[in-house]
Amino acid sequence: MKLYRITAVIHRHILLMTNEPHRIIDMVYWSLMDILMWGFTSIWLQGSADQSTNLSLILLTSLVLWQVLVRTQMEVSLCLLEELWSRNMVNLFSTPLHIREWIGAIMSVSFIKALGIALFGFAMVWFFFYLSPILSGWYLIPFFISLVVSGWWLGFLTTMILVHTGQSAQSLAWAMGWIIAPFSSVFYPVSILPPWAQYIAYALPTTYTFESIRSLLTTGSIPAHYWYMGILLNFLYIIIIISMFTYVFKSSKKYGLARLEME
Amino acid sequence: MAEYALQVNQLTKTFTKKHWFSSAKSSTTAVDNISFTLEQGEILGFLGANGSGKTTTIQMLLGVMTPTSGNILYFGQNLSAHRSNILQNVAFASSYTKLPSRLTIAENLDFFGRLYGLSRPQIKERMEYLLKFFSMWHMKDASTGVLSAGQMTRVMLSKAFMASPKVVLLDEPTASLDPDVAYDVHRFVLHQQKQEGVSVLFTSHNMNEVTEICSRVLILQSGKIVANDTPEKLARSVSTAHVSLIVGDGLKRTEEYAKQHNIPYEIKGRLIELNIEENHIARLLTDLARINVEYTNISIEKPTLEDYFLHLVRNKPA
Repeated sequence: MKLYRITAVIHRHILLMTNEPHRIIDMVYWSLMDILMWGFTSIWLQGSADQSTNLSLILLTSLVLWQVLVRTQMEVSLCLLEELWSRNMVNLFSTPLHIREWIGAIMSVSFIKALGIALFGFAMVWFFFYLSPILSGWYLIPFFISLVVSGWWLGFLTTMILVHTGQSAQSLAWAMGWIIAPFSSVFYPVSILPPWAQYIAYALPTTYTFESIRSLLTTGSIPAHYWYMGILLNFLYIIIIISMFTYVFKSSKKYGLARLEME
Repeated sequence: MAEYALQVNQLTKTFTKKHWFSSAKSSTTAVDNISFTLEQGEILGFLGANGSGKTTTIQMLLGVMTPTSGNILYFGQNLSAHRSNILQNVAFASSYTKLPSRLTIAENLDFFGRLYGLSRPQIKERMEYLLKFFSMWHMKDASTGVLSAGQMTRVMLSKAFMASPKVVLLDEPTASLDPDVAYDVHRFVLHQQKQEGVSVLFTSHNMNEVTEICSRVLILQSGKIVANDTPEKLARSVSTAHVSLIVGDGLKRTEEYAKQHNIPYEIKGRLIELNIEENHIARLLTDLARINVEYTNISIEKPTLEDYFLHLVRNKPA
């Protein structure tokens, strides 16, 4: 592992974003629209809800952190798609760059962008609705990290499929995050899901993260087993999926990486 | 034993396709048990018709495709075991790959320089040298997305030579270049070979350029190496020469003669070109004189590498 190769890939992806300001606008536009829609909806719902619960704060905190997960997953997938679209796979992987270094770089790029989207989201929530999830204190940091890790394994799962099937599966880059959305209890408690869906929900680390956020914002405490299960599942999934991705990447060399550049 | 820059031993690539809903498999052998070496400081031509296995071989040499069997050694080290170390000294350029179109030429070269661990001053110095050599310095801040095919090829060559590699694989580097730029590329490759001792594997469809810059040529046909020699020796092994005559009187008789003796020919106005075995030329000229053919000009061209290549392709076993 050479740090300079990892920083080279990070630098390159940051340049791709800064060279095209519309990419940044794309990133923040949808985030802002979601915040405004959900923010006003939650104010309206707050009127008919139990006044002791800060519905707006819960919904908007969950929303911003959900965007962290989706952005991380998308960035991981888009970093690979960038190479495929620019027919750069052979150029890139005929250099000394190792797949482990590329994975490390892509994780860093997606972390940076997820941090950007979280800071932007919380700033907008404060600016438009005078609500500050930051008041939840240091708990936001483990929530953020937990969702970035979930975004990573979901992103590498998508990328693994792309490496296996090629560009024909590229729409997964935008869709994959939403596959787990209904089961992750982002905006509602897991208890309202039908029993079969609860089995799926409890197998996802994201469920524990969002349940923890709601618990913190309503009761001021987090059940300990939520922490442990969230960390354990995230750890398990990231190890399994990155190992699988590395295996699939190496296996795809059986047919050659140039094959992936074909549309 | 001298250490080769590149040594390929019994390399084979077979693509196997499994059919859905049945246990049947079909397989195609793209590269069939080939072995060759590239000496240090040598420029080796790597020729073959489309589909002969050149690109598959190059992909395996770059480590972006795994061989079915055989091994690849660079400077005595096995590519599969020492990939990163080896690729630190191996570079590649092709007319058929691209670079991220949203980055400028300078940003792309900077990225590849960083990947090879060059320092900022080294990147700057090398970039300036290469882009100036290829007359692209004035465009360094242009996005690669706006470049013509020829300009992109020059940028790809600059990319390949950024980190002063010891071995360079060039896949048709002059395919889309104007003759003057192609000449500059030849000059540059020869300079790198002579001054820096760079070893080059050079593929091209232009036989003249291969003859000009390659000291040895490998020809691949149906995944197998069918020739491995200097361009001159390969050309000499073809005995067919081209005899061109500008006929004043007797063009019809010359044509009849060619037909009778199964000599391939082509007529362009008063010019007739005959492809004939070298040792039959004297007999041809005598016979033409006998049937009163008068010609005002005659030229005899010796066989070239292209003749050898065409001879191989046309006599390819079914």
